Amino acid sequence: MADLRVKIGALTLQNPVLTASGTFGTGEELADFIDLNKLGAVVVKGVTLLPREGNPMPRIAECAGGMLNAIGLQNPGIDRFISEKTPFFEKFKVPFLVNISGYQPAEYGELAKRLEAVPSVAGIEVNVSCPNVRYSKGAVFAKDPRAVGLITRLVKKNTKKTVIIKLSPEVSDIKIIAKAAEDNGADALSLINTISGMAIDINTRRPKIKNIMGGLSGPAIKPVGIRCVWQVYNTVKIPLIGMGGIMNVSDAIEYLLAGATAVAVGTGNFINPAATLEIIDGLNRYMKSNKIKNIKELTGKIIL
Amino acid sequence: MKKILNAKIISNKKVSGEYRKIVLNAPSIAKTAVPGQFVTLKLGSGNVPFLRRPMSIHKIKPPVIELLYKVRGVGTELLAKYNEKDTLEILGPLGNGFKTDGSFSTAILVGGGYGIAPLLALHDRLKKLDKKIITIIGAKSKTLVNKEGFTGALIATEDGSDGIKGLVTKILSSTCCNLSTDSVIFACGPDKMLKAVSEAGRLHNIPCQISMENLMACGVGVCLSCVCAVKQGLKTENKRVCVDGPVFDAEEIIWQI
Repeated sequence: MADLRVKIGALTLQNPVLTASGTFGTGEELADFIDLNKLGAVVVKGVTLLPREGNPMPRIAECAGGMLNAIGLQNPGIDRFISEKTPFFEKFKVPFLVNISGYQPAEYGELAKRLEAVPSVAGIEVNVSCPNVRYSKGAVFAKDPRAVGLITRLVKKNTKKTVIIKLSPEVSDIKIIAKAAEDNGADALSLINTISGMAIDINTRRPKIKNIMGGLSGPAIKPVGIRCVWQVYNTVKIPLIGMGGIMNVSDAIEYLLAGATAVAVGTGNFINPAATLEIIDGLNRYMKSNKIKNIKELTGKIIL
Repeated sequence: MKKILNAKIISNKKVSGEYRKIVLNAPSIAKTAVPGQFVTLKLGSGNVPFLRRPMSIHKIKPPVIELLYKVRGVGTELLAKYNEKDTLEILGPLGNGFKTDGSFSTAILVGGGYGIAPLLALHDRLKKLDKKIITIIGAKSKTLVNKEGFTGALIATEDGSDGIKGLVTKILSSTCCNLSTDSVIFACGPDKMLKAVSEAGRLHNIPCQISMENLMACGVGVCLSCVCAVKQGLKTENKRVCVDGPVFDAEEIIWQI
């Protein structure tokens, strides 16, 4: 049997297949289709300090090879999240990582502190890159290396858990942003968040999404994700979690070859709720037929 | 329990007007499905169309389920091309169905256009429960009226090409006036119709269950695409049509239209 284990920060995952935040709820919703304990880790839907009702409808639009979404981080807020959602995590041996978002850098520190006190939370994914919410200064933190550095520091100061920073591909040089996160203590990076886009209904002439702009996800963005992982792999030493358009095992392997240590399935879960498990099986088959003993032998092994 | 299965197509053909019906062999879904629930279909083998397509279960006849549809976009165009003996990947049964366990004696079914789809399964269920059933069907015009399977349905069309000229609420109001109090309205259709039906229900003091429709990506409660505003005590909460609905108590809904 091939060794699929990977290390992300302090965590050793039994395999490199995760769920991308916002596409898997807390895992509870999909427990009918999937034995959650078979996953590498579950990354749950993003949470903010205060409850958020999210954006107005319509929130999604289908497009070629993907979809646009502007959900707007609808969530019950950290208090209700901890009391209502985290007890579910205790039933499983698979690590649960919680995705956090804030409007001010200080909020990230506060969220990390609150989650530090919850033993069933294995790690924190820091979302500095949601394209669908307005931050205090109007800009996405992920575009500013100083903001990314500051938020990383604040989160690290408040937790001993594994900290992953989720970056946006919509920057002039992702290497600079990735370095800022690494230099300030990030244990790993998630690459990439959605890419902002727009679609217009030509009959009504209205935007298909009420928020006007939304985040593009799905196979359409996979080449961008692969490119970002490749660029960042050659810049930082911390592990990368590749995501963006992964629908099947070959997509996952492509990310590994580009330099990802692990991968996350996002929008792919909507099309096939069992996609993650099929990818794990597919990795086993691929490794067997290519005589690869350890999954680490694939990371960054693109031949140039 | 919800399942993904490759269902064999028994038939897929035109039924009446612009409607088509696909009959699927789906034993595990048919066994547990209740009226008002839906399934999602993976159409085609590639990324077009990208998302699964949610569809109400039109008829439940284990081991078979039937879906009623109208060709109106890339998804349904592709669906119409599936042949007998092909398989179709379906996921379900999803969502919460209509509640039929109350002590009511009369059920008023109100379907607008394609909204008639889940009401046939409900009609069959209510018949088994020995309820008196009044069915009101509304549509823009005759070709959009599907009354197959409903006995003695009252029809309203906007252009008057079938039944009375006007909206379903015209028939509903006169029907409600002559009813005993232990009745329930079950409705599915466009939001405007559902809102009007809910108001008629309130006016006549008849409880009303409505099946909402919304754009969905996942259908299983994780993406939060399909929410609608629902009263939660003194507060409002965005509830998911796919798992908290699609059937809601009309009084819960905070209409955005």
